[in-house]
Amino acid sequence: MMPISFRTRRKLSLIVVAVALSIVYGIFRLEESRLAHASFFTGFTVLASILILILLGVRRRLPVLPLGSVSTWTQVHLYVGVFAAGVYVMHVPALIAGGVFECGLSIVFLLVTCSGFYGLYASRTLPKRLTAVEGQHRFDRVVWHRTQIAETARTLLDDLHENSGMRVLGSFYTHYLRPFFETRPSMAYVLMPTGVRRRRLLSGLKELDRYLEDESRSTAGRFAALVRRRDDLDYQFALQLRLRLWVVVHSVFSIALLAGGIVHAVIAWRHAG
Amino acid sequence: MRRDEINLSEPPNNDRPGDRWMCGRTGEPCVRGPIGRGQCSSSEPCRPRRTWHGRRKRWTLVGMLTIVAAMIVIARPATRAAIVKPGELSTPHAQILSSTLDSRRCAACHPHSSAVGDSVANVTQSDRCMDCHHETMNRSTATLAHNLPARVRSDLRLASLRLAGSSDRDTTWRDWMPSVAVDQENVQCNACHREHRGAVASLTAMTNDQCQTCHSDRFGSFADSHPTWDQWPYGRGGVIAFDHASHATKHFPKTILEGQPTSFECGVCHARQANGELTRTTSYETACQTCHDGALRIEAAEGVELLTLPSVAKRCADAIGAWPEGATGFYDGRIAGLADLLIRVDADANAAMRSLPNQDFAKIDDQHDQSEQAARIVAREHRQLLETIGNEGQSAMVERFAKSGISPSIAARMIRSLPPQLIEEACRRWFADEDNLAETTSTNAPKIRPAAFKMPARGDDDLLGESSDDDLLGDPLDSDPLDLDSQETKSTVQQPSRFDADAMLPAGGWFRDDRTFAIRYRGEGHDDPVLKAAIELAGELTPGDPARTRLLETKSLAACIACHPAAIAATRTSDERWRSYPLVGRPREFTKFAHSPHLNIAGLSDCRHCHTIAAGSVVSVSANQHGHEFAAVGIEACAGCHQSSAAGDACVKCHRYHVETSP
Repeated sequence: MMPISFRTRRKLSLIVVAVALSIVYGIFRLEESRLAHASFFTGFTVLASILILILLGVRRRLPVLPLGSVSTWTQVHLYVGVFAAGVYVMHVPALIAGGVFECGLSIVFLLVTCSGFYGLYASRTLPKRLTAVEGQHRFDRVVWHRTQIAETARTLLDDLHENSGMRVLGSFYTHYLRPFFETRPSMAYVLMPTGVRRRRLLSGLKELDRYLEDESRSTAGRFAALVRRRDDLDYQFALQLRLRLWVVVHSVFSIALLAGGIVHAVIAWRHAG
Repeated sequence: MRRDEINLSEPPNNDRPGDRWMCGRTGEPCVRGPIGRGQCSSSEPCRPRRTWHGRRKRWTLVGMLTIVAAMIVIARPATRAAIVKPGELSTPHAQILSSTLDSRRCAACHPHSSAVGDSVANVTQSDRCMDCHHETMNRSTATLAHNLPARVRSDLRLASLRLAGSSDRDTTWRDWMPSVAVDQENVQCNACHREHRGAVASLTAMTNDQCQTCHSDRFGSFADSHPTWDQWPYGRGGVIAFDHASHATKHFPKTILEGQPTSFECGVCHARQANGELTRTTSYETACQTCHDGALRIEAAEGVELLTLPSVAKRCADAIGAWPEGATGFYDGRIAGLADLLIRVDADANAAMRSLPNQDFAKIDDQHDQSEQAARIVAREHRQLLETIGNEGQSAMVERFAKSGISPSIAARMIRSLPPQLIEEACRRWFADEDNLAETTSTNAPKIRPAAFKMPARGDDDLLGESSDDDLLGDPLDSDPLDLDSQETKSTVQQPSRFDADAMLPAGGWFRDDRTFAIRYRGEGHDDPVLKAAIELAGELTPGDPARTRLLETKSLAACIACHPAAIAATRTSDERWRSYPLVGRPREFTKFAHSPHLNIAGLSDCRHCHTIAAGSVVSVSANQHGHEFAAVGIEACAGCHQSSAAGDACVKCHRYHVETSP
């Protein structure tokens, strides 16, 4: 059997989702026209979809059971999520409902949906950006690496014997390199990591070359290496943090959505008659 | 190694990705790492740090606790209404519930929102709706489809099928759609009225498919497949019988003002109101008075008679006792309708009255003893009736009317202005013996003689004038050529002067006519209260009742009924009998129509565009079927504009769901 390409699989999946949404919409309109409460149909469809979506997390926590690959589950998760978003639009009179609870529930749903679509985008782009930079750093060891780089830079400056070079490099270290090595990256950098500060520091070190002797030039070169190491580390930190925060937001709010959805269903059922 | 390259030491490998804690040392880490809940086992302990996994677990726990706290808050009845709300209520309902406690707000409409097993187990949401809406809707029929019993709905369906003809029914794909999801005998309010859709959302918004889901014959667009009609809007009739056809084509063109025929302008009577709608009906003063007031006053002046003493034969008069000589001689006179009602309470008198042919003394066979006896009983009852009223006043009349089936309110309005002194004086004058009469009357009021009836002088008609001495105009029965005594008396006794009601009672009122021995009422014109009461009184009698027939034969009453045929309908209230209310567009009619938006269109501003007078039309003046002089407005008049892409063709544009059967 020929393996299905990614594009073909995506097309097929989208067609299946579109057909499913069309069927649900047809039933929804039919129920509305025959004076039934179609919101019960769409509401329980959304709730069932959420339960299926939550099962991906269960599958990840039960790797020993033969329940299919996580990749397959992720694909199902993705398209069921698109389907659930479509049914939700049919279910609600307004995207943001009135009332504190229903308003909060609709915001949570939209948050989970948006985070899901962002996750789709992030899972397609961030791994490429992470592998594009040198080194692979575990997120929990980033602090250890940061400390190592800062201590190495301090040692380099202490080992310098040349007075003139030590004066020039010491001044540059104090004013520019030390704040860079010994502090965490700024919030702006974490949100939008760029190479601006890296290029600024490296060009500054290059500018010092004409004031330095051979020994201090070699030290300046090592400082440049540490700047690149630290910037790559911060870049990986920012992207890994983004991925991890997305998972936390998506999963925590998914649980809140499931709990709120069940409560909403019970209340709606009880207030129907 | 290049000058800008550097080697750094490898990171420690004493932790795993799933660990919650990791070594806090920044330099050389320990070999074992932290244990348990972040405790360092080294002799020189460090301060272990949480891993990302550890922090995530903690955040998840905090998130769960927040959710649980939120659920507890939601579950509290005191705050539930403010927190749990799938959408804003419509403004009218929100306004009503704004003063309700939060803890009771949901339960105001949702009986099951409170604890399980309470006392409202069998109460439905519709019951709660009806707690407020019972003023405008009958609770017993509120949950029936269209508020109509199944039998009525079935009749309407069959009538529709008969009208369309089974062969003309279009079969569309809509006929194959699933049937309605609700029981037509138990349609809950929320089947159609969906709340919590925002303050300005319409609670009555319905799609055409929703409207038709209960119908056995479903159709598509209004223009193409809506069933036709042939009676709109004129089959409904009105309570005023106004003939638009004759006025528009005959009376108005014949009325010449300033050398020009008067034009029949619809807008004079049906003027636009401040809200843009048309005045459906207008007042007598606006529409009719100019042309009809003079004739109506003459007809109203004929009034209605309470009682007229019949003329009886001499031996009958002798048997009765006191009886006016002027009403003695031969049998004549018909029993007045009102007198009939007052006399019939006496069983013997009623039997005697019924034995008289057509209650007419003129038809009595004076050779027949039984007829004479009946005449005597009825005549005596006339006298006793006058004496009773003279002694006991209006209460005696109200009591007798009540025994005849007339409601006291109508009887009271009928006799409100009738003074008992008038009756008492009539008794004294008509039934006093000659000696007493001589004592009580002056020379200007001689003893009673047969009334020489003469038409009152009007204008310059000498033939009818009082001054006429033409013997041919005298009453030929006035004198008996064989009665010499009477001839002598006539030469010495002055005739009583006839009470000229036209001259003396121009504003109308009760009076005594000594020549005809009658108690009469003279009407004033339009909207005369006594004449209205007399018609309502007649309306309370059964259609075959001779008193009713005689009352309605009265000219003044017949003139009223000519334009107010519904006035004799006993099922209507007094106001409904006389005032015409808009019949099209009443709150509980199945079809509604607003002129206002249509009149803004230049082509429709002329009423005749839609309302054309049908050729050869006849206005019926019966109580049940009225004016139908217009050609019906057909579907084609509406379908030109009422399409989905133009003025809209939604069912609810012209139809109401909540209807009532006609009273």
